[in-house]
Amino acid sequence: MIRRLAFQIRVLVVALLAVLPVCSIAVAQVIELEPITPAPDSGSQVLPVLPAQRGHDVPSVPEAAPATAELLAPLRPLQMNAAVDGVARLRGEEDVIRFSLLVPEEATRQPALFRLLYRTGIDALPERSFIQVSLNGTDIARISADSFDSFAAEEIELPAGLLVAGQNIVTVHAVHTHRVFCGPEATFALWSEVDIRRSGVVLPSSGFPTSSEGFLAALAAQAALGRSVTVSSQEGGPESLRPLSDVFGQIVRFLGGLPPVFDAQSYWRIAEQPELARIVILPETAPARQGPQFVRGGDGAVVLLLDRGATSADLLAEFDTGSVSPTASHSPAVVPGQPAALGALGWDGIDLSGRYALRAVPFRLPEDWLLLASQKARIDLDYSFAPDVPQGALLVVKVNDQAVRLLPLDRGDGSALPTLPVKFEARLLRPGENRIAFETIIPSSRPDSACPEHEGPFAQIAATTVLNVPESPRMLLPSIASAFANIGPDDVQLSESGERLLPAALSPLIKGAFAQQPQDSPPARLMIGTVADIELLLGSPLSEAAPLLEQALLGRAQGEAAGQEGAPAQPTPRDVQWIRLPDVSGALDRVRAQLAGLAGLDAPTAAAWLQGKSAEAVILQPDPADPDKILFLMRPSLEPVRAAVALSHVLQGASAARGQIALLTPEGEWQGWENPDRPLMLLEPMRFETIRPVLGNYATHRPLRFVAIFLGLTLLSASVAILILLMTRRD
Amino acid sequence: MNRREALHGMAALAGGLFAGQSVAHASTPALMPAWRAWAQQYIEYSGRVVDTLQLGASHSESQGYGLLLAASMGDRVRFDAIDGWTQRNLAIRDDALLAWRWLPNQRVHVPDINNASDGDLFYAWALLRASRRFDDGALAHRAARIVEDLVGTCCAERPDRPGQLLLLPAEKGFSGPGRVVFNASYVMPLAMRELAAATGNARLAQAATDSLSLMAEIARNGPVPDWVDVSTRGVTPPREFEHKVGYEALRVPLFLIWSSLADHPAARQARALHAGTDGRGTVFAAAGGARLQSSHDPGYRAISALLECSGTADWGAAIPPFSTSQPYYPATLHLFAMLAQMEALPRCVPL
Repeated sequence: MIRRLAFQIRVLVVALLAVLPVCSIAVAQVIELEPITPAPDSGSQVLPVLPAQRGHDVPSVPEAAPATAELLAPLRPLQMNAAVDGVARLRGEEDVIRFSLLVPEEATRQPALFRLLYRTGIDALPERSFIQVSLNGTDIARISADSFDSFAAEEIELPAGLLVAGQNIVTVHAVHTHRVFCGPEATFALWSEVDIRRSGVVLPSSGFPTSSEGFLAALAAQAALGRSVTVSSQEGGPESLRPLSDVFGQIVRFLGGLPPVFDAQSYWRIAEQPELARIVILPETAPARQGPQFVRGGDGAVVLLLDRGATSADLLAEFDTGSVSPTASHSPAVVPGQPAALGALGWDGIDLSGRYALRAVPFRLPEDWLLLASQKARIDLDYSFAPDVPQGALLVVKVNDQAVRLLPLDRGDGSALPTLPVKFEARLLRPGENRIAFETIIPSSRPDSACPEHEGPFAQIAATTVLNVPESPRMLLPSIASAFANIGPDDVQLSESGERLLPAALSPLIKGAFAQQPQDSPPARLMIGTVADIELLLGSPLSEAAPLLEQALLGRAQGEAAGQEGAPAQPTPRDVQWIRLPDVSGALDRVRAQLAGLAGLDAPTAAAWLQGKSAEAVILQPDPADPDKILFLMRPSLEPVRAAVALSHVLQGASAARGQIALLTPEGEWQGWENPDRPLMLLEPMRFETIRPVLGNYATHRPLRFVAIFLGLTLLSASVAILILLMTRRD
Repeated sequence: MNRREALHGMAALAGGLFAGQSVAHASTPALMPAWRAWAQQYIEYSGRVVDTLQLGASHSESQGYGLLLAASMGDRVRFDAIDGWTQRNLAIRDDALLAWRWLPNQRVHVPDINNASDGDLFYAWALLRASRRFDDGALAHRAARIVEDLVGTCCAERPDRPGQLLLLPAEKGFSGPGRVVFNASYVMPLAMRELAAATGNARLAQAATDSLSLMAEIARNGPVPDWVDVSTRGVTPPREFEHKVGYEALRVPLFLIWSSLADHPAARQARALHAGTDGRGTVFAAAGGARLQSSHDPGYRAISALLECSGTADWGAAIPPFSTSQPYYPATLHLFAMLAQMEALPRCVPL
C-alpha cells in the first residue's frame, strides 16, 4: 500500500514537472517531446512522444591511442643468469655484456630508433666514464656515464641495413674512472646499469608480423618485459602444458637467454594489458591442421596456434624456415694433444685495462678426459704491457680460479716479450667446462685521487697465446656434471609427485635449459621431483643420507633454527679409529692427517656433510655405478625460472656440482659433495702408451687401494718365489 | 490466502509450467573470472549496475543484462542483489515492466516511467534462466508476467504488413497512426523464442519471427541501422534519429549469432561492413558504410571477431581477452560475445 502511494506521488510529481516549462529541473528530467511538424505525406504521421535520450552513443572525440602503442624489441641478455630482475649491471673500470635483440624483418627495412636506458654509480667520474654501444660489431654510440639519480634514455638513430632480420647482437661496454680514489679496491665501487626492459629498438607501428620470426621476436619482447607467456586452452589448467613441454622447450631453445615462464590460462581469461605473443592450443575436437600457424590475436598479439598433438618437430620445421637460429651457449672445444690458440677460441686478443681487470677464456674439454696425477699442461703466453705501468703491477694467470703464475709487469720493456711457457698441473683442468683467466692488479702511487688517464690497456694477451692440454686415456670419474653433458630435453621427465606438486611451467623451462645439448649423446635421464621422491634413494649409496636430504629440503636446517646460521658444517672424518695414534704432539697430528688424507679418509660422509644444511633444491647422482640417472628435487615454492637458471649454471660448469650431491642454497649458489668411493672408470682397452696415465689416475684416486694391490702382488710374488725355492732347491 | 501462500501457489504453477525442460545452458566456469571482474567493476554493492558513460545511470537494460549474466554464471548472491535493487527502484509501474532509467544525483531518480522493451526482455529471460539454474519456480512465474505485459504493451502490427508483429522499443513514444519506430537491437531472437516456448506466448514467438523478417528486408539494402521508421510506405530512415549504423546496431549481429542465426542477412551485412577492417569500427554511415567512429575498447573488437569467425569454417576467433579497463557497455558486450561463442559457436574460441 505504501509502495503504491509512493508510486502515485512520484507520478504526480513527474506530471507537475512536465507541465511547468519554466522549471529547469523539469527540462533536465522529462522525456523530450518532438515538435509536431506536418507530415511529409499522408501515409506517415508524427509520433507524439519520443525518448530521444535512449541509446548508447558516446561523444565522437579524437580517438586516444592505447598506452602501449609504442612497441619495443627489448634487449635480452645472452647469459641466462644476467639481469634476472630486468637490470644488467656492468662492474669495475671496464666491463662488457652482450645482448640478443630479435627483430622482425619489417624493422630492418627503414632507419630505426635504438634506445638505451642507463644509469651509473655516483663514484664514477663523468668526464672519464662512458658507455660504448655496438650493434652487430659496429659502434653506434658513445654515451657519457653521467646519469646518477635515475635511468636516462639515450636515443640512437640506426641507419637502414644495420639491423638484420632475426637475431642481432648488442654489445654494451662500460668504462669507468673513480672520481676520488685510484687502485684495485676503488674499481669495485664502480658500476653502470642498463634497464633492459626499456632498452631496445622501437618497432614500426605495424608491430610484430605473424610469422615464425615475428612470433619469436614478440615472445622475446614479452619475456624481456618480465611478463609470462600465456598458453591458452579449453581447460586452462597447468596440466594442459605438460603434453607440449617438448614444444615449449624448442621455443626456449630458439629464444636463448633467460627463458620465459609459460602460464596456462583458459580461452576466456582476463588480461588488463594487451599481450605481444601467446600460444593457443586448439580444442581436441578441432580438425588437425598442417603444422603450427601464426595468426593475429584480438589484442594484437602474435598467436602461435597449435594442435593438441603438436610435436616439437612440427615447430622446428616452422622455425627453421625463419631467420632466427638457436642461440649457442657452449664454450669452444679444445682437443687434448692439439694446441689451441686464443684466436681459435674466438678471441682476437685480450686487453687488460683499468686498475683491476679479470678476463676469462672459457673452453670445453671432452667429458671422458681425465688426468689426476702429475701431468703438466702449458700455456704459451704471448703478452705485453705498457711502459708506464706503476711499480708493483701484477698479471695473474689462473686456471679454473686457481692462480698458476704471477707475472710482474713493472720490470723491463714490456712491449716485446718472448713467449713465456706457463706450466701448470693438468689436474687443475676437468672434463667439460673450464676457463683460464688473466687478472691484472695495478696499484697507484696516488691512491687518494682519481687515476690519471692512461692511453691504451696496461697489459695485453695476444691471440697467438696457445693452450696445450695433454691427452688422456678415456676415463670417467662419475659426477653430476658429466651426466648433465648427456641429458637432452627428451631425457627430462617429472616424477609422479612432481606432476602433482610442481608448477606446470617448470618442465618447459628445464627442457629449454637442456635444449642445446647434443642430441646423439648416450642415454641419460633427469627426473624432476619433490622431497617425496627421496624414497628413490633407498638401496642406493646415498640411502643413509636420505633423512638429512629430506630435512634440508623441508625447511630451515637445525643449525639455522638454533641460531647458528652461517656457521659452516664441520665435516666429520670417516672412521679413522684404526689409525688412532697417541695424541702426543702436533707433529704426530700432522702425520696422522697426512695419512688420512692419503687414504682418502678425511673426506666427510654424505650424512656428515649434510648436517645443518638447508636447500631450495638438490641434484643427486644416487648411484655412481649408474651415473646417467640424475634426480633434481626441489621445493614447490622455488620459482621455475630460478630453478632453470640454477640448472643452467651446472650446465655451464659450476664447479660445486661436480660430485654426487649438489645443494642449491637460498642465495642461488651450488654447494657440492663428492663421494670418495665413486668408481674410476676406464672407457677404452688398456694400451701400452696409456698404462702410465691410467695407473697415475688410479694411484691418485685410490692411493691406499693402489698400494695395497701392489703390496699384495709383491707378497704373492714373494710367496711364489719362496715356494719355488723350497720345492726346487736341493741341498 | 496470504501473500506467501499465493507466491507458493504461483511457484508451483510455474514449476508445472516449466517442468520437463532441462537447464538450457551448461555451467560456464571458464567465464567466472571474467564475470567476477565485470561484477566488481560495474555493480554496486546494492545491486545497481552503473553505466558511468551515461551519467552514471542505471537502465532496465543494464539491470537485465547483469541479471542474465548472474543467472548464466550461477551467481545467486549477485542475482538476488541485482534483482532486489531493480525491484526497489525500477519496478514502479502498474504492470510487471520496469521503468527504463534511474538517474543518480537527481531529486527524482526516475523521471520517466516509460519502459524499454529490451530491458524487460532480458530481465524476463534472466528470470527464466535463473529459475532453471536455481530450480526456483517463482522466478519463472515472474518471467511469465513480464512476457505477458511486454507483449500486451510493446507488440504492434507492422503498418505496411497487417498481421505481422513487431517488438516496439517501449510502451510509449515509438508508435503513431501509420508509423512505428523500430530498433533491431531490441530484438533478441533467442530470448524471445525461449520465453515464448516456456510461457506458451505465441504472440512473442510471432514477434520474433516477424522482426527477423523485417531485419532481413532492411538488410537487402545494406547494414541494419540503429533506428528505422516503418510506416505504410514501408521502411524509411528514421525521422527523429540520426541514420547510422552505430552503438545500437552493434548488438544486432551479436544477438543473431547468439541465436544461432549467423547466416541471417543482417548478420551477413554486418560481416561485410567489418570485413577487411581492424575490427575497431563502432559507427558507420548507414548509406555507403563509411566508418564514422572507432574505439580501442576490446568489447567492440570481440563482436567483430565473433562475426568474422561466424562467416568462415575456421577454428578460433580474434576475441581479445576480457578487460575491465573499458566502460560498462563494451565490457558487457565483451562478456556477451564470450557467452554467445560458448553457447552458439564453440569452434570460435578466443585466440
